[in-house]
Amino acid sequence: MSGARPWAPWMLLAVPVAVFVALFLLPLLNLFALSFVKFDRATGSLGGLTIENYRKFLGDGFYLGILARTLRLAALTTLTTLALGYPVALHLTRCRGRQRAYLTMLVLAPLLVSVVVRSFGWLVILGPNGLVNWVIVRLGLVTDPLRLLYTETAIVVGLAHVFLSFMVLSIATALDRIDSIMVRAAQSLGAPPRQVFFRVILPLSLPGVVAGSLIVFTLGTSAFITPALLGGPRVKVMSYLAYQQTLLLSDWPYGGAIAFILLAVTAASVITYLRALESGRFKVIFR
Amino acid sequence: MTRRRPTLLGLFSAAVYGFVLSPIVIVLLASLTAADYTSFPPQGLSVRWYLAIPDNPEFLESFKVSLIVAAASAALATALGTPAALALVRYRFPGRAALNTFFLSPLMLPTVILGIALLQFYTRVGITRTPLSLVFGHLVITLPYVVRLVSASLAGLDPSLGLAAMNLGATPWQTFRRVTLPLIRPGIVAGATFAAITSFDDVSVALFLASPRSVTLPVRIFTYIEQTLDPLVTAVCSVLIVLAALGVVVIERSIGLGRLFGAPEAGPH
Amino acid sequence: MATVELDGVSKAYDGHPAVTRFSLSIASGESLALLGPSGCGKTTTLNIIAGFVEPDAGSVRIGARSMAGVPPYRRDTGMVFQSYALFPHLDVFGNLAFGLIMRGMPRLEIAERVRQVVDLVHLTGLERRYPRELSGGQQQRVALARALVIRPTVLLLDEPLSNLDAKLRQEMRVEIAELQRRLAMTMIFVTHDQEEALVIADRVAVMNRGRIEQIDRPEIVYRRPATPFVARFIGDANFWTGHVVVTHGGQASIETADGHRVVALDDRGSEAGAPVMAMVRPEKIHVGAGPTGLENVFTATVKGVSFLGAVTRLDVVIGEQPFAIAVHDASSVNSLVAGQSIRVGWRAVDCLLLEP
Repeated sequence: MSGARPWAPWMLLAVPVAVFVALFLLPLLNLFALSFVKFDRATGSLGGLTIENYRKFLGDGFYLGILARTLRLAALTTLTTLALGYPVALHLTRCRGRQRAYLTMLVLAPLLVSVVVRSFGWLVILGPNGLVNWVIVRLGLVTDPLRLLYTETAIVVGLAHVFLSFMVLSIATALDRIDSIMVRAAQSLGAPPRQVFFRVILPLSLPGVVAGSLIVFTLGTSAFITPALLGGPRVKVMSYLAYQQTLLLSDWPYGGAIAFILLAVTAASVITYLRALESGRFKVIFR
Repeated sequence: MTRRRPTLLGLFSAAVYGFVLSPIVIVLLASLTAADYTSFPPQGLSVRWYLAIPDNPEFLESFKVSLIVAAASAALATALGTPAALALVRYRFPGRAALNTFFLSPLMLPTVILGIALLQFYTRVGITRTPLSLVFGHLVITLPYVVRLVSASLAGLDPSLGLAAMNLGATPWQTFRRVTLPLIRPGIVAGATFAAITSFDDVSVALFLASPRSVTLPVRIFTYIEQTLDPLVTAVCSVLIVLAALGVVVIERSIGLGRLFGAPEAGPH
Repeated sequence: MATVELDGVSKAYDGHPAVTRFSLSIASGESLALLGPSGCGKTTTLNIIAGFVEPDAGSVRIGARSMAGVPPYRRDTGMVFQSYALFPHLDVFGNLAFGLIMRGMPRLEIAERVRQVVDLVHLTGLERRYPRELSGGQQQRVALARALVIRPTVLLLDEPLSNLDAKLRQEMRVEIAELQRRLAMTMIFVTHDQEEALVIADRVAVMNRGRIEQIDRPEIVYRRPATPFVARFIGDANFWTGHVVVTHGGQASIETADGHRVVALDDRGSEAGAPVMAMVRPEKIHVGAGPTGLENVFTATVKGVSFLGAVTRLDVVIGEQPFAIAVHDASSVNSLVAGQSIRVGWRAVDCLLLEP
């Protein structure tokens, strides 16, 4: 700013940057390098450089299936939160005053409860002695409890619950930015409420939908606790696989490779998604 | 027509809010069971599992570890993140955009990668797994929130306030102490609070960095659930839920929950 | 109070010049308006004097002391910001005391100085209010008082009245002009409002694209604009382009591009054949019979009549050339209708020659 002292920002940044390089960047580079190191399972010793870790993953249908499942679950979670979250956001932005404050709190409060606790709640609901099975057995729909836990559905339900707040928040922010004069303009031009929504409000809220979808999708692909508890070893996702390979099997190079493949695939899908939007019909809104 | 639409929307919303609250409410109810296994609805009604918590000191021990780690990493993240945000918002210099991304990048990274990378690195350079290594790990995942929230409050500040202070004779340091700092204090408090919550709730990083003698509470619960589902853990989770509820009240009264998460404020009509 | 001198000051942002080889000298106790459209470099000039912006070249002196390398907080300039920049976390007293605390003044003395300035700008009783609890006009007074209380060497005002409504703006204009004269302050203020400049300033500097087009007393700038830009920016003006045919006795005869003859004042010694613009103010054009001895008389066609309160605006064309005429006596033009032919005219001394 004033004074023209080019070193001024660096005085403020020196320590934070140094700390972040040491505690974040170096460990990440170290793991990246390690993912190209040969690992001998029998002896547990590290060998020379190799791309074997990546080849092993990409050449094995079992592992690729886990990758596909991870992306599928993240996509399903995104769609679920969108379907549940959009109406909630719309309702929220139409509320005023105290009612709105309480509802906002209701949307946000679950974020303060640890993911472990929230996923545990779903264990109780979906378990063999849980709420859902109790209801459907009582209603006589089934005689024996259904196996709901350790399924992909359970994971999607749990993840949707954990990430719903983010979706509602981004859509509500976008909806709030829409100038109410737009609605009046549309009405004055003869648009009934349904047309106002589909032709004005919905298109203008798309940036919020996109932002929310990106957040939920990326969080979904990298989610660990919820899939681990609700899917377990039976319905493995990428994060769980990486955890298993490293902490449980001590194959760090392979675990590292899995982690970086997850990162690359997530980044690639986000970029593809954004590219598709930029060339799409509503691109003008996203400038 | 205009009267019916909000009602339909309201009903749907109410159902979703029910969905949001259900696991939390159900853990609270299930914790009151008298039986030896977790079920819903609970069998009988008792507080025996709450009374059993003190018999399992590892939970209390973990709670203490979590509190210390959360406080320490939030303090460190605030001390480092505030000057970083100041530099990133207040100055224009080459590399600024790249550094901004650098400080925020842990948010975009799967936490499991961080956990693996940090544990591997610590092992390699000889840092043993202690509460301190946990604090280092949590510093990485909490600093972005401090940078983001403090940056936001700085960006909302009229830049001519700083100029006015200098014009009235305040040195850069006096300008910071007497004008900038009081005005961005809400952002700093929000950043520190968010950092503490993030650290306290984290499992993915702590799972890798916790040593057998310093296990955080969420990790303790996670590993416990993986082995057994006895109602003791429902009682522990319920205690956490009650604490979170208290947290909600305190934050709402002081910072405002909405501001903490960047929720839009209700505008005028 | 001190003199302010700018010598050859230049400043560019990313290669775009904001101020170019700018020189200016303000006497002690003088009030100067920097007037110009947005982007003309007037605020940059003010920021260079205050020390917020370092010039790329040139020097600034306040009271004969060079300001090179002097940080803003050691310059003793008092600035009133366009947004007021009142500290929202401090009450009125806190805002007013801020600069005095920075100067290490004892508490009792601060209280006394603040009390004086509160009286001066009529803010008594509001000392414990916070900025957001004040009206726009009160905030403006606090901003002014905060800059005055440190007894600055020069008072700098950046569009100080632009956020006030029209009535309040007129009151504050007079009040600021009075204060400046009473305290004999050196004052530089930036505005895009010509009326404001004319009311408050001893001298007006009209700026355009980082340069001064003209600097002089307000009435001179109005009566004798140096360039078409100045003529257009201060007041309304009618232009007729053409070339000089002949000059004699301080007057020039012009032939316009569309073949009309105009006689104009020529105090700059134009040469025959030189391309020029003849400029006449709307209120200098007479309609109908008018006084005798008008050197310029034309037949014009009425385009429209607009009643504007104190004056009535008459739009006409002479040939193809549109002219605006300000008439004070509405009754004389009320009956005119579009398409009607009328006689209009003006004196040679009211018609200036400007270089296009």
